[in-house]
Amino acid sequence: MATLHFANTPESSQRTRRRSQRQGNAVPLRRRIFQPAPEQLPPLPRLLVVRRDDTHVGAHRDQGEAWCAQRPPVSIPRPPPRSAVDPHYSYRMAFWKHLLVLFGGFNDPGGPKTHYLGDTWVFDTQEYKWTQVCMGPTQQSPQARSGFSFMAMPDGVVLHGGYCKDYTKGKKVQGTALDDTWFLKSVFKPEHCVTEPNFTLAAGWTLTSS
Amino acid sequence: MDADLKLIKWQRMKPKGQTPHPPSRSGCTGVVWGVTGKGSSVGCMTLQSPQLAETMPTSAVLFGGVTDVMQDEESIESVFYQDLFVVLPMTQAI
Repeated sequence: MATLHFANTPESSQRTRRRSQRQGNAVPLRRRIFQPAPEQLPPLPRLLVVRRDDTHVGAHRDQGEAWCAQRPPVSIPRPPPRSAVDPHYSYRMAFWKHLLVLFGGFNDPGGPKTHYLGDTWVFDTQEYKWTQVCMGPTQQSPQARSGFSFMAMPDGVVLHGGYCKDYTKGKKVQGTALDDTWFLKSVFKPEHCVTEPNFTLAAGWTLTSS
Repeated sequence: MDADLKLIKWQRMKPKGQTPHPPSRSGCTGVVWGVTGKGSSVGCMTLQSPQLAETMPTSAVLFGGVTDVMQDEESIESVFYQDLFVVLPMTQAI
């Protein structure tokens, strides 16, 4: 669990002070920065800002308190990575280098809802092992789909189109055909490359017959 | 090898310029057409000219597909496509 270390001004509320005593490591604040005039305070009674460096900055309007909290770097506990692929149907696979890449498909257990899948797996033919890649909330990935095109190119794997059903609550279930294109590639940085290669791939469509 | 697998990322490809873009569809079949290494062709299409094989970038060829069009509550009409598209992955400076 993440531990928050709070620092309080002397006028802080009992609740915040208790939290500070419990978690320690108080960092004194300069009140002139964190205590603006009452008319400048937002209408909400309490304001909490999480800055990019994981510092929490807060203010309480009624009691004139201000605090700063530093969240130490923590590792979010995650379930252990799965080593086997769940049952899939209508997925696509492509061989890229020595990797067998699997994406998407659906799983229809028989209920009213079809579970469309958007997970990416690779089977390493050198180690005979399945590994799930491109997982996590920060990883960009195509949405779950089935019935798409999946082609291995020398530099990566192209994905285009597909179909998925929208199960938004309160709306009629509707199937949607997709028209987006994705490219799975390795962002390996060669040793001689000083800076990160800064380019993106464009899908240049050429109509040859219609 | 695990370290390399962590470097595998998805990247969205956006159509470049005003080139025709295939309408949304599913079930279209694609093959790779082009050259890997020294003039060997990949896919189901054979390159007739060795000179072309030297210069032709690897591309993906897509044909056909289907889209469902919902007419009303009761009926759905499916549109089947018979067009052929070539997608050329190109590097593009930001």
